[in-house]
Amino acid sequence: MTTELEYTPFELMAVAGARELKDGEIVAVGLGLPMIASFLAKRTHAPNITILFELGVVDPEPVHTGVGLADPRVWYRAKILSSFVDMLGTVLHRGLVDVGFLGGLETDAYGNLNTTLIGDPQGKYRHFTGSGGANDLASSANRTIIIIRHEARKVSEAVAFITSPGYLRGEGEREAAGLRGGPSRVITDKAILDFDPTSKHMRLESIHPGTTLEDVLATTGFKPILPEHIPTTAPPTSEQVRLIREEIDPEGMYAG
Amino acid sequence: MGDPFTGDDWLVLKPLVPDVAVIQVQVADSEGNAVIFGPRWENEEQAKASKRTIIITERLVDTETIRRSPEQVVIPGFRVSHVVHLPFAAHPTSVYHAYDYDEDHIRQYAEVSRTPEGCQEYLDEYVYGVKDHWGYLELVGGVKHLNDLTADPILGY
Repeated sequence: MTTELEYTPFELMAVAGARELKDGEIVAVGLGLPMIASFLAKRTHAPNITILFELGVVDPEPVHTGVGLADPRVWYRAKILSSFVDMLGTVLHRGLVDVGFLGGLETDAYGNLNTTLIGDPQGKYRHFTGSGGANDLASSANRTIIIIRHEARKVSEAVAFITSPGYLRGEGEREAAGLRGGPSRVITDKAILDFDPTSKHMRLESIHPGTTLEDVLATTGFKPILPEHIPTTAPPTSEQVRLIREEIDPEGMYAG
Repeated sequence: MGDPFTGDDWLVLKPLVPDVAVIQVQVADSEGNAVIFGPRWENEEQAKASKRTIIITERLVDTETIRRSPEQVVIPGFRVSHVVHLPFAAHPTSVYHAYDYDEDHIRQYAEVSRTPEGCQEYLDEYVYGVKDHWGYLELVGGVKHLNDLTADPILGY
């Protein structure tokens, strides 16, 4: 008899994020899930990725959990400590960042992200702290991966404000705006979505184990494109779960 | 705006020119030649873009010390208008390779600052209630506490 491996939705998302990274790529990450996903990839199939924090930190190897990117705990054993202008100006804008991880308050069907405000920009609204370097990454990384909780108000029909451009209103718009790359995947706690190569509309790629199509559709603010066959997202391996729990995030601060 | 080389159309943003930049560093001399250990964030650009730049330094060293490793200077003294020598000036936040953040104090501040009254009490006690910076450092725990926060030379925090 086999016992089924237990894992949290966060761990599944981190593993899904790690799978997106290819060996040798340059990856711009923020705190939390993107960092776990990148460190996991580096310890498994992609030992030669380069991990960047936008404030000027390259390839750190933290031994303690930090509370933010400003916490020196997450800079420990970095190969380079430089600056925002170096990372965003000379690395990202030069086209050297292969992958950027992005989060947000909400995304629409074209991967446009809002991290600025909730409400009506012309009327009553509440401001948030975005974008930091997110707009730079969304505009100039060769591809981006969006990480977001799956709720209809977050994976939404329309965003109140475009902080970080996805495919704008669809086919051809991003190129016309002179932007590089674009979102390649959306990883949520229920599913993984990608984008139709032509229309650039979000398309359901796989559904996480234990979640149904009905549940995904009920919690998505628009109708994603549904391919004929929608597989179940591959669960984490026991080794991946062990690495996250014992080595990458032993205090369970991010993946708990 | 048209790019004079390619003719491409570009959006042009006006640069920010702050009246004053206040930059915390680990080491500076009295001219303001300043060394920053660790990531420089946008401190260098802030200092260089501003009309006036105030350097707050943990350690004030002789210019002779600066001359021995000039490649470490990030902000040149000729762009600096004022130098303030004030150890533990960033408390309760941290300065890389100098001291760690004071987690308990930040928690306490986060708790009391939820209400305007709590915030006022905090200001009355820690800002208006002390004679100067040294009085503040005594109030938050004094020499023993600050020694506990001092950064490990390998970890930097």
